[in-house]
Amino acid sequence: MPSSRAEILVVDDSPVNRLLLRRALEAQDYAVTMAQHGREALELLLAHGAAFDIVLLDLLMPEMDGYEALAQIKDNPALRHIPVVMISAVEELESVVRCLELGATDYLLKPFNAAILRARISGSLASKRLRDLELEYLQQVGRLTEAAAAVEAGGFEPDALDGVVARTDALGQLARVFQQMAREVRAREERLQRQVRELRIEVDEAKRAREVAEITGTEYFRNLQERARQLRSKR
Amino acid sequence: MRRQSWTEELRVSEQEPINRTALDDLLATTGGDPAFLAELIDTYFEDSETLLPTMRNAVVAGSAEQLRRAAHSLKSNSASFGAQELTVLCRELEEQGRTGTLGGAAERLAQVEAEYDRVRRALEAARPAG
Repeated sequence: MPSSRAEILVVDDSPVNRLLLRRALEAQDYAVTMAQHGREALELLLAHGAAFDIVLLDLLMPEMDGYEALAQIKDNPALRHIPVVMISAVEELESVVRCLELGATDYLLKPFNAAILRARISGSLASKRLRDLELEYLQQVGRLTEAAAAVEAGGFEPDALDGVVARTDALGQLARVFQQMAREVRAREERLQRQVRELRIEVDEAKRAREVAEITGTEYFRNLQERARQLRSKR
Repeated sequence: MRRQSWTEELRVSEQEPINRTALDDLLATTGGDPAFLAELIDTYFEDSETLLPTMRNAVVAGSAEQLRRAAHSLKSNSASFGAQELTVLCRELEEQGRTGTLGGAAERLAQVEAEYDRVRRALEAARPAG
């Protein structure tokens, strides 16, 4: 689903309301998915929760009503950030209060007015986008601090920061400087390790030459050489 | 003055089963597409023909919750078409279901059925052909 087109989950048992809402929302260029009751909505949300930007939820429905569906959405850490706008013909004040207390973003009465529906949805979407951006920022700060811990532990991979360095803000700048410095430190370490390896090889060769010289310098070895020479000359 | 009051009274008691302004608003809201309005009206008829027997069964069986749900759905659907009187009657039945006081519900249901007939005829007349 393209990120520019908001995806709305409409939950309503009335075919007339589903038709009306689909029509009104698609006219606003929203992508619309339908569920006929709370249980179907929860199944869709658990399977594709991240795909939905907002839920429009009716109250009185078979299988699972809107109160229960709302409570389950707001109880689930993976779903609770999705704004839920109640849209119902239940007019009692206590119903409005109960839904808002359960975490609903808004409460619209049916029959809905298209202009009000549009305004409430765009308001909810704007706050969700702001929240999504804050969440992403915090996650990226987390990646930067993890990277710092990895540098200390000696296991840092500079590519781990690719998503953060692409940011155009101060956090992105910090990540770029950090990544650059970590790369330089890593290159220096690799250079040093190479030099150590080369030195070790030189040391090994010198040691071998010394051992050969020690063996060939002994009287026993010289006697062996003399006997070998005599044997060759007798042939 | 007296005569004017009498005609006003007559107009209220014999008001149109559907409010044309509400229907025009509905059409405008949904992009002014007559084919869509026809589909919506057909869907309303189909749904009502399930909801009314459900309400009848609920009243006979004394099932308040079933009555509440079905009356609520018919109320909500009817309100979208500006069927004001039917909406009011369904709201009263819904309230009876909600509070579990079903006294007089059969009579009120008969009123709902009669009013639905008027609404259906009005919507059939207003339904775009095709």
